[in-house]
Amino acid sequence: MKRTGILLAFLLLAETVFAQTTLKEGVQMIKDRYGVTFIYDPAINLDRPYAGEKLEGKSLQADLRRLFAGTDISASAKKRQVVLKKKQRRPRRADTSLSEVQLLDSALLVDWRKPVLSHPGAGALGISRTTLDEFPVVFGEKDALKMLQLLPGVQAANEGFSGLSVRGGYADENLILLDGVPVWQGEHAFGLFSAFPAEAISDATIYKGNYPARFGGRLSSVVDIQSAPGNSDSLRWGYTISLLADKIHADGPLGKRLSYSVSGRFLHTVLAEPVLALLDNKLNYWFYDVNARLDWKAGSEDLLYLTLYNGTDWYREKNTAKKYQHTYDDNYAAYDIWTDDIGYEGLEWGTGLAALHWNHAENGRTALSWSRYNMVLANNSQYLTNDSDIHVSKQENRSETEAHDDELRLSTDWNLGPFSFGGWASLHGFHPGGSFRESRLYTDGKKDYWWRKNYSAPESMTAAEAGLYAGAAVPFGHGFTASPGVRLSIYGSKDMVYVYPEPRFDVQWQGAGWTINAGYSRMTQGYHRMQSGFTILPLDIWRPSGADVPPMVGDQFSLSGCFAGLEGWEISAELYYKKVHGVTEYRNTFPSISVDYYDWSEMVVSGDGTARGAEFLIRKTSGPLTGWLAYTLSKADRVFPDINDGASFPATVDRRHRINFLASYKMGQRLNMTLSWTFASGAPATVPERYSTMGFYSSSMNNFRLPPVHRADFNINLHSPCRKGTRTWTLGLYNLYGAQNPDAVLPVSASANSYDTCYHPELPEGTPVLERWTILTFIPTISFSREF
Amino acid sequence: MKKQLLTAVIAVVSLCACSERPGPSMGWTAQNAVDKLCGRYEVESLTWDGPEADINGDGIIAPTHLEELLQGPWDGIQDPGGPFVYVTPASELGKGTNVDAHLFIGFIDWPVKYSLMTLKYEYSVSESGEFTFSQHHMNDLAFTSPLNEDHSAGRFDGESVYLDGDILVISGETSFYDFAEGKQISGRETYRFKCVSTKRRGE
Repeated sequence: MKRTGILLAFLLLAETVFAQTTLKEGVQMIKDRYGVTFIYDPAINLDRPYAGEKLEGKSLQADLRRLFAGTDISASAKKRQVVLKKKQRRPRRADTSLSEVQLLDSALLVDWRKPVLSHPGAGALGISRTTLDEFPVVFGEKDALKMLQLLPGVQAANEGFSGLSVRGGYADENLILLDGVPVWQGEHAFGLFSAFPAEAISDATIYKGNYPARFGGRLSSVVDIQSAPGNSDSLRWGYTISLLADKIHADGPLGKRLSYSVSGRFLHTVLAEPVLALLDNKLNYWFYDVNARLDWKAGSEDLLYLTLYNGTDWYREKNTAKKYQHTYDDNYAAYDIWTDDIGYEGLEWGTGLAALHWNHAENGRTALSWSRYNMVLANNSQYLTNDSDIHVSKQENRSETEAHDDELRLSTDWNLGPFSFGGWASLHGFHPGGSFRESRLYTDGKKDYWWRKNYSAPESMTAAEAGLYAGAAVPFGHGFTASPGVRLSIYGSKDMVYVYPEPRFDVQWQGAGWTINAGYSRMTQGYHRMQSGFTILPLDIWRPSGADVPPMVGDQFSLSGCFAGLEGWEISAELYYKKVHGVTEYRNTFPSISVDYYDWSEMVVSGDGTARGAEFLIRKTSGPLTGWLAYTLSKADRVFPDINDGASFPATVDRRHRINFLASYKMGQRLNMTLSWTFASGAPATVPERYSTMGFYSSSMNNFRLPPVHRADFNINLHSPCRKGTRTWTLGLYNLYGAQNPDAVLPVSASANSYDTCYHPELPEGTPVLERWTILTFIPTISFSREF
Repeated sequence: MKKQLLTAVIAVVSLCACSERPGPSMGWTAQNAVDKLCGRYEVESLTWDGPEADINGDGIIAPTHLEELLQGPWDGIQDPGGPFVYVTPASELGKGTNVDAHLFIGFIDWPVKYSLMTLKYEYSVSESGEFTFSQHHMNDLAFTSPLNEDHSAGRFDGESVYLDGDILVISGETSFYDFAEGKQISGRETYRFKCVSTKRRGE
């Protein structure tokens, strides 16, 4: 009773205290409670007493309505941002003056804090969650990796797919980090989508050059993705329903110190699977991914958080046939056999990741992580045989090929004033495809026959990687900063240990709105991803360097200038030259690896490459219209002693010109539109010369230039506040004018049979040809999101 | 609501349960007729309307034409057990299916060695179980004359194949060399074959 009285007294006191507070303190309370940011013109006076009702915390909208009730301030909330503006008498049309409109807009937008693109340093560009929400999407899925493809120097490794090619590098030369932990297979749907839905990340930064010493392990780029942190204020949740996938996201507190963030996504087809299976539907594909983060504030300066990710793709093909056979024995006695054939082919692959992080203040970050990529290719068949209703037999055949990679990694990064240092160590196990086949026969319910054969897996490989780094940012002179660094990378496998010092140096001058950088970076890569097809496929395998295939080493020089002296505008240009050694190509010029192939090193050859280019970027960073125009002039070559008789040939990702345009226009708080257009010169491709049982062969690689690719995408977001939270309709048009781009280019053998996919009656049967497929043409999308 | 749900469940279960069991593509009538026709046939009788003759060159004229032929001499050690026929089961309506008739129709060596040579006929079945026999183009076999290798000594024109009840009849104009008279003779051979396959499983 006494305790209840004290509690009531406390509540009464709290209410009394709050009743005497100001709007500003109310704003702060809402910020703390809901984790939102307020955007408002400084001319709006919030140091006014608040005499309204108590903010009960039922919902953000309810608290905002109460706080500003009876004032001349209106508040509108969009996701985590609340925009305040002064209520104005709606002018009659005749009264509207340009100056008034401009004043209103500038009040609203000068403080718009999230530019479409952030520029954290030379060679680096960052995108925020806000940008992702507005970006045109394919199949209704917002995709961070596809967004990055619109930046200068970055392109799709394959048009329309998630893989990145940065400054002449191949898709496997990008280090994708989720909270600092490498993700080895970060794609769904054969590369159509990246593994990270927009809801699960807070921002993504790509480093194309001038790499800080803490990053390494890949030649061409580092994509640093930060997961969405836990929310310690109140429960928020939302869902999205789009044409293909459904998503749900929730974050909130779990007590005083714990908070969480969790998001999940799955294709609609996973729900339809039981029905499809019942209807004997021939095939189905689905994927799901779950991102979760649990934050624990261990102290005022220490944060421990656990990041979990699991994504799985699943494909199955089921063929059923009811067969009847009227047959005879040696005495010409006729009898009937009914057979139910059920053929099942399944492919399941996915990535799991668990990482425990410890962040100490702003200075230190330590992470212990484990990640696994798993792939299972299964083939099952079942034959039910009914012999004239006298004998019933069942034969079951099963075969499976399985492969998985595991990585255990410990890394730590520390900052002490201008100095940074750290280290990492990892063990990586590669377990390539062991397989088995087995067959069982049951006659009249009794096991009649059983057979199993295990096909020994190629030898598992273990590779270790470790290293140390140190760097500094030392100001000197007038506006100069020198950032020297060095990284010592050690790659070890069973038969070889490689040690590489990787010097990094960047010098920067800042003044009068200008930022000039000149830098040099060495990057190394001890792992090779062997592509098994034209795009990223689950059958691709990673292999560590060894005595036969050494690590890749790249040296990059860059010079960049950025002018931000014009308010709302930023203009930058960057030149780079990159020399790489030890890059690999297939010996016979066509991807031909299989997951259970034993000696992969026999199939590839090592060589050198160069990439050079100039990147230009003009950005409009404020106002209702924001966006950028980017132009890249680039050239990427390869020289391999064993290919093209040692002559130089263009790299598969070589495109001379690339233009990316993106404009995002906000019409108030309820509507925003985004239009993007991209153009790129044609990429080279290899026309096969002959076909044998070993596959296609050509004596000259990349001997043909494909036509240019271009497309425009459009996106419109309609936001409307609800009694609780907001709802958003997103309408998108991918490839607006239906450009017939070569999304896939495949070598095929010509066939005179019109039933074959490679039907070419004009050519002799079996002639190898290069066939171009356009997969991603005009695609309208629609999605609905609701946030509470 | 419960009723609707129950109806839906029953409908789905019925759909799964009532999946039709496939049967013969030609229909049961034709299939039964084929089952009855196919099998191994052995000769019941052989009639010859030509003159009695020493066809096998052993200096003796056997009481019947069939015995004359059965007494050989045979090709090497082969003793095929007499003329016989295999009728292969038809699997489709209207499609030519083999009737392999092994008959005495040839010298394979001189002075005289007999062999059962295979004559190929075909039959097809209609949906109502009616059979149509056709003569194979390779059935007109010419024999080399021992007197004059440049001239035909005889032939078997097996132009007639039909069913007489359960009996398969193959008939043709035939020529032989009569060692007794030293001349070529001709007449019509009519083989009547009876099915000997038991058509009982496991026997």
